[in-house]
Amino acid sequence: MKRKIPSSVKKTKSPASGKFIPGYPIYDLHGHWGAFYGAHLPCSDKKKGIAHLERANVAKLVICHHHALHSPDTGNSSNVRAVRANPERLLAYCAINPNYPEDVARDLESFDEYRDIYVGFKMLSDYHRHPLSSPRYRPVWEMADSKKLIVLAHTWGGSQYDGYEEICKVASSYPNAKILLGHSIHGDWGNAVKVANKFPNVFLELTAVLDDRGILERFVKEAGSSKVIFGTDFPWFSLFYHIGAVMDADISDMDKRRVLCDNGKSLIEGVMGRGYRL
Amino acid sequence: MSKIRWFDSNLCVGRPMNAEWESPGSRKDLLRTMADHSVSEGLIWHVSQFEAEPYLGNDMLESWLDTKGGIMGCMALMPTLVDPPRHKDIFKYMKSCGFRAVRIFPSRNNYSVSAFKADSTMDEIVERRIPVIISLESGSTWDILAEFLKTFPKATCIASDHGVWGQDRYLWPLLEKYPGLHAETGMLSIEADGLLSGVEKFGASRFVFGSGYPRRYMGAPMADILHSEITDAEKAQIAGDNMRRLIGRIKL
Repeated sequence: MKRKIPSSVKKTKSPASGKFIPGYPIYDLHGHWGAFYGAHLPCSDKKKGIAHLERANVAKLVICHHHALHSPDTGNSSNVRAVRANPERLLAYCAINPNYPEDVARDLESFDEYRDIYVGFKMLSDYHRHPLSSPRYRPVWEMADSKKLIVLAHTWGGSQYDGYEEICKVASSYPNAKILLGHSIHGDWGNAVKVANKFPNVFLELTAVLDDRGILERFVKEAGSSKVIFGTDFPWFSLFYHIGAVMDADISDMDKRRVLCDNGKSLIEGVMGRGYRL
Repeated sequence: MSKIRWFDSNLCVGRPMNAEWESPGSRKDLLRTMADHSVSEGLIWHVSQFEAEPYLGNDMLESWLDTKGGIMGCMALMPTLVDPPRHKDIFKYMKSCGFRAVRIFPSRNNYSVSAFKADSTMDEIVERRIPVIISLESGSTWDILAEFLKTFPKATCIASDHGVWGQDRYLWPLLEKYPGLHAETGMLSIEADGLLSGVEKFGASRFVFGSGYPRRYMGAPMADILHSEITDAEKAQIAGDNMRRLIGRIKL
């Protein structure tokens, strides 16, 4: 089917009258790359993925390749390749699978060789079945703490691996690591706010949060917008849907800008240095 | 440029059991939110149709409806052999109250869709081209939807609330097989380029805008439609023209 493509999507009027998709750049700190077993993801096609990010004015998407997380035999080479192919748009988290300590040791040893690639680590404890405080993760946390890196941890309400109690253990032990609660302990919103307020190094991340109306407003009201980080699980979720949700939320324009832009940019600069081109 | 006139096919009213989200307190509140988002028409259902009892929910929905067409309702239905509706002539009831679609919740109400074959009610709904809305989040599954379409292959049907994981592997084969099936965009729009891929494959006429408000942000799927790489004419179709067409051809 041949269809005419609109020439400028950025000028398109946004949902609520008087509001527009913001003119400032978007920083998305929870992304992935590549195909995934559980869903057809149109944007797992690299060209489509990059085009979607460009249209949404995403300055940086920090990814962890699906293959790096789910196929230990692939390892982090998929992350390195993805960022090297798209250095303007992508950064990565080094995937950590604690079931293979020798792989983790190798990745830590070579970490500094990839400082143009990595902002920190990604932990997927519910899937890898080791709690965040497991000794298997200790060398990773120690490096994150000593180098002040970002750790994006998948977190879910009630989980024995990455629920509230586990987060408290690592947040207090590694105060210099910047811990992003991926999905904000999904469903356990009260404890998510509690832990964000208790620990300066803990941040609430919005992937899979924005499909329920009102949670973002609660986070901003109870934890403050400076503790909320924008993320989408891209290429799972549409940048436009998620930006639209933030823009439609009952929070101030300043809060929206912090969430979509300033907070993520600041965290990346904290790792890559202020001179880093963002 | 085609003018976009928004018609939200998935609005819910009434307070849920567990107060998980803030519902519009009145018809006036709902109209104000719709106006804030430039939505001129809406198709609403009542949460009690699902959570409490379908026919109670129908009664509660009546006062929200507008027979002139601004706010239209979904009438909840169960197989009529066991659970006949309160009103003997449901089509007369639908017309007089402003109901313009039917919602069914098979798994919630514990029946098989084949039970609709015990009498002619669903056949008549299909014949009258009344849209049957099946939510994959509230009271149904993809298997149930497939069974419904197999039983009523000529139905005008809308699959809504697809779930947060991309559901194309379930949806696309059904869109391919049943021309009367349409997909509501509320959760399809959560998938990155999910709407674009669907439109490329099946054309814009098979998709209708719905938000899932108040549980979900009305503006989120609107932003996805507006910024998808589809033509302005396709945006207008999805935003409201398709739903208007489906409602306009109903025989009541």
